[in-house]
Amino acid sequence: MTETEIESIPEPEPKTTEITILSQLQAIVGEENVSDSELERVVYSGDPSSLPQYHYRWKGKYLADYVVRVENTSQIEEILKLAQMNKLPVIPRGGASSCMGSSSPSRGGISLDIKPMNKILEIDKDKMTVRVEAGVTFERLENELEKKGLALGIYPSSAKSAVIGGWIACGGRGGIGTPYYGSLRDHTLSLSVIGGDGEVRVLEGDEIGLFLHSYGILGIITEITLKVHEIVTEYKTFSYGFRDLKALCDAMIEVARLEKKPLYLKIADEELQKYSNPIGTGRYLLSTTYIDEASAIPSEELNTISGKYDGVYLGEEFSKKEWELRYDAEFNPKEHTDTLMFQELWMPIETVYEMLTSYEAYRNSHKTSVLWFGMLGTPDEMRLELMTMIDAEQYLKFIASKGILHKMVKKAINLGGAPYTIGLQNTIYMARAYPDRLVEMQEAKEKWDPYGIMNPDRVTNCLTSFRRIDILFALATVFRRLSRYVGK
Amino acid sequence: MNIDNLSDVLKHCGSCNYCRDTCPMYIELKSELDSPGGKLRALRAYATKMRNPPVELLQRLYCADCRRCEAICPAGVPVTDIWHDAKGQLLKTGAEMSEPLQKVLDWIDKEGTPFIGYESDDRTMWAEDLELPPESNTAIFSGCMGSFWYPDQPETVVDMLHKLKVNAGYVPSEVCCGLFNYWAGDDKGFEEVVKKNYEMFKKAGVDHIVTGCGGCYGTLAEHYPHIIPDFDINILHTVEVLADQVRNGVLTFESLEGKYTFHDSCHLGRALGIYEPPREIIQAVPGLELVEMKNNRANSNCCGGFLSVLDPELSESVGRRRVAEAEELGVDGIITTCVSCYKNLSYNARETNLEVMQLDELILDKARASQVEE
Repeated sequence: MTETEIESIPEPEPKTTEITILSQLQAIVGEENVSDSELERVVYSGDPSSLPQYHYRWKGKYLADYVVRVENTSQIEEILKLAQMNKLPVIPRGGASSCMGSSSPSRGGISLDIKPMNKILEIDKDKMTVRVEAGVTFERLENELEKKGLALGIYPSSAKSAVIGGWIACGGRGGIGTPYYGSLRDHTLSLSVIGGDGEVRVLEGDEIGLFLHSYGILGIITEITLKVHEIVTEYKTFSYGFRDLKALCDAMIEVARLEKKPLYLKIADEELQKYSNPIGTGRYLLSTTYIDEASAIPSEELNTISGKYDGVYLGEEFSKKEWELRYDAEFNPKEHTDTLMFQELWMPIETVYEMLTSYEAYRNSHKTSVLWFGMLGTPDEMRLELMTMIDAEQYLKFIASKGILHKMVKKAINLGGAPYTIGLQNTIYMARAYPDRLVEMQEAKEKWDPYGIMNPDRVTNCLTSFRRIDILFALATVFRRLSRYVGK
Repeated sequence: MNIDNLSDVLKHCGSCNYCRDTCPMYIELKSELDSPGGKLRALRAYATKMRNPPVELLQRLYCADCRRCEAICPAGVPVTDIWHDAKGQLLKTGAEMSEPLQKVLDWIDKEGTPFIGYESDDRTMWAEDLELPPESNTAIFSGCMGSFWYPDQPETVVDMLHKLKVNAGYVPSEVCCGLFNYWAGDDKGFEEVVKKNYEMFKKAGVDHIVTGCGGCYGTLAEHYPHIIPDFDINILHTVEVLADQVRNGVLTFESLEGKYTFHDSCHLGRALGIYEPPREIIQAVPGLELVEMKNNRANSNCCGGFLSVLDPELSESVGRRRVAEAEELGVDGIITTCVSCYKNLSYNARETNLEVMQLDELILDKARASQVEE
C-alpha cells in the first residue's frame, strides 16, 4: 500500500455511546425497571378516574414519557437529579387508587412507581409503632401486623390496592376505622421524604402536615413511622333501612355523636345498594360497625335512635355482608355501566342532608342514574361520594353529568364543605375550598420544588380555570335542554 | 366474544387495581403491565382503537391462569375469558406466539400432550396391568400429568372406584384435554382436540367421566360445551365422588395423626367452586387436624404449577411463596387435590419439613377397605 493510499483511508471515528435519558434511567435502576414502550406508558398513566380519551386531551400530554420503578431512596435521588437537569416532570405513583387523577401525567415526564418500595422495616411492640416503606399496601400491613397481634386499625376503602404513602399524600382523613381511632395524621409519627430539590429530610410534629394532601407536588414520601393498636378481630354491624332522607341524616348525626364511636359508619341510597347488597326495606341505608365488645356497642342508643326515626333493622346477615363489602361497594356498580363518574366531598355532617337533597333532585331533572354513599370520617365530618353512571361516549350526557358534579362541589363549598381529594380533577376548586392551604402550598412549592418538576398541575397550578369550566358546564346545560327539542 | 366487542366488556374494569397485589405475575415481575388491571387498561386502549396493538401485548396475556383477579374484582370482570378471546384475536391479527409456546402446541398436535418428549403411545402405560374395560359408561380421564408424570394418581382413582364398586373403564386413545390450547388462545387446536376426545367418548359409550385433575375437569366441564353445544357427558372430579361416599358413611378412614393444611387448586376451586368436598374428606380422617391458611378457598394463592410451561423459575418462585404460607402455620404437611399443584408444591417444599400429599393418595392409604366393601 502506497503512502497516498494510506492517507485516503479515513481515520476510524471513535465509537460513541449515545447517552439518552432512557439509558441514564437504566443505569440508575436497571433495564428491567425502566420502560419507554407505549404499552407500558399507557398502563402507568391511568387510575380509576377512567374517563374517555377526549377528557384526557384537556390535560395535555397525558402519557408519561418513561415508566420507572424504584426500590430505594438513593435511586429516587438520582432520578430527581436527572429530572431536574432535563426539566422532566416526575409523577409519583403508589397504589394509583385515587379517583381524581392524582397520579395521571399532564405533561408527560416520568411515572415513578414507588410500589416496589414495600418493606415493613420494623414492628416495635413495646413502642406500639411500625416503620414501613411508602409502597406497602394497607391490606398487607394489616396482615403482617396481625401476626404480632397488632393492627393499624385505619385504612381507606381501597385498602387492597392503596399504599401508605399514597393515602398520606391524599390526606388520609376519612376511612374505615378513622371515626374510632383517628385520622392517618393522628397515627403518623414521622415521615422520610425527598423534596423536589433532591434533599432528604425527616419530618416530625407539625411539619408532617405539609405532606398530607400534598399530592406529590413537593416531593416523594419514602418511609413512614406509624402508631399501631392492639388487634381487634370481632366486629358487630347494625344496619337500618329508612324511608326518608331527612330521617336517615338525622339518625346518622345522632349515631355519630354518641359517646361510643363506630369503626365504620356508612349511609347509602338504594341505587348504590342495588349493585352490592340490595336493601329490602326503605330507600336509604345506615350501617354502622363497632368492636364486638359489650362496652363498645351503644345497643340501647341505637335502638332508641332507629325507633325515633322509623329505621328498620335489616338483620344480622345483611349487616355482616355490609361489613364484608366495605372495600367493594363503590366499585360494584361498575359492572353495570360504561363510565362511573365520581366526585368526593368532605362535609360537616349537619350539611349532608342539604347536599343529598340537591343531588337527588338531579336524578329526576336530568334523568341520570345518580347514586351516592357517605362514610363517616370523624365524629363531625363525612366523606360523601357522589356518582353518576353514564355512557361517556354520549358527549352531552357526559358533560351534563360532569356539570352536575361541578354544581355539587360549588354547593358543598358554600355549605362549608370541600372536595375530599384534590388531584388533577379538583385543583380548580383549591382557591375557593382551601384558600389558606393554597397559599401555604404555593410557598412550600417554591421552597421544596424550585425546579417545578414534581407532579405538575395539581393543587397549586391548574390546567384550566374555574371560570372556563363554569362556562363550559353552563353551555352544556343549555345544549342538553335544547337537545330535548331538536332530538339526540 | 371477539376483540371488536371486547371494548364493551373492558369498560367494566374500574381500574381499582385490587387485582394487582394478588396476582402472582405482578408479585413476581413487579410491573403493572403484568397485573390484570394493567393489561385490561392496555387492551382497552387497543380495543377502543386509540392505540395500535403492540406486539408484546400478546406475551403479557399468558399468565398463571389462577383467576385470583376474578375472585377479587368488585366489578365482576371476566378476566380469563377476556385473556382467552384477546389472545385468539391478537394471534389472528398478526401477533406471534413465542417459540417455546409454539413448540408445545406443535407437540400437542403431534403427540397429543404438551409434555415435550413424551409420546402418545406411552399414555396408556399406567393402565396396562389394570385390565380396565375399554368400553364403559364411566371413564377415567387420567390427563397428561397422570398419564405421564404421576401414573400412581389415576391408578389410585381406579383402585378407589373399584372399592366403591364403580365399574370404571378407560378410553385408551384419549388425548390431552385441550387446556393448554385453550390457555394459549389456539382456538383451532382446541376445537380439534375437543372433537377428537368427544368422538372417542361417544364411541366408547361414555356418559360419566371421572378425573383426578382439576385442569382437565375444568376444561371438560366448562369449555367443552362451548364447542359441542349438546355435550351430554357428566364430568366428575374424584373428590366429588368420594365426598359423597363420606357423607353417606360408606367411606371411612383409619386415623392419621398430624396437623395438615389444604391447598385449593385454582382450577378446581375458583374456576368450578369446589371448595368443601375435599375438606369434608380430610375432616373425616380421625386424628387429622385441618388448619386453614389465611388465603384459602376463593382467596387461595396460586401454587404456580401452570406457570412451569411458561417460565419454570417464575413457577418455582410462586410455589415457594405458597409453601412459605403453609410453613408459617407450623403444620406437618400440605394436602392438595391437583397433580400440578402437588408437583410444584412438593418440589418447592423439598427443603422444608413439610410433607406434600395428594388427597387421592391419602384416601387410598387410609380408607377402611372393609367398610367400603360393606
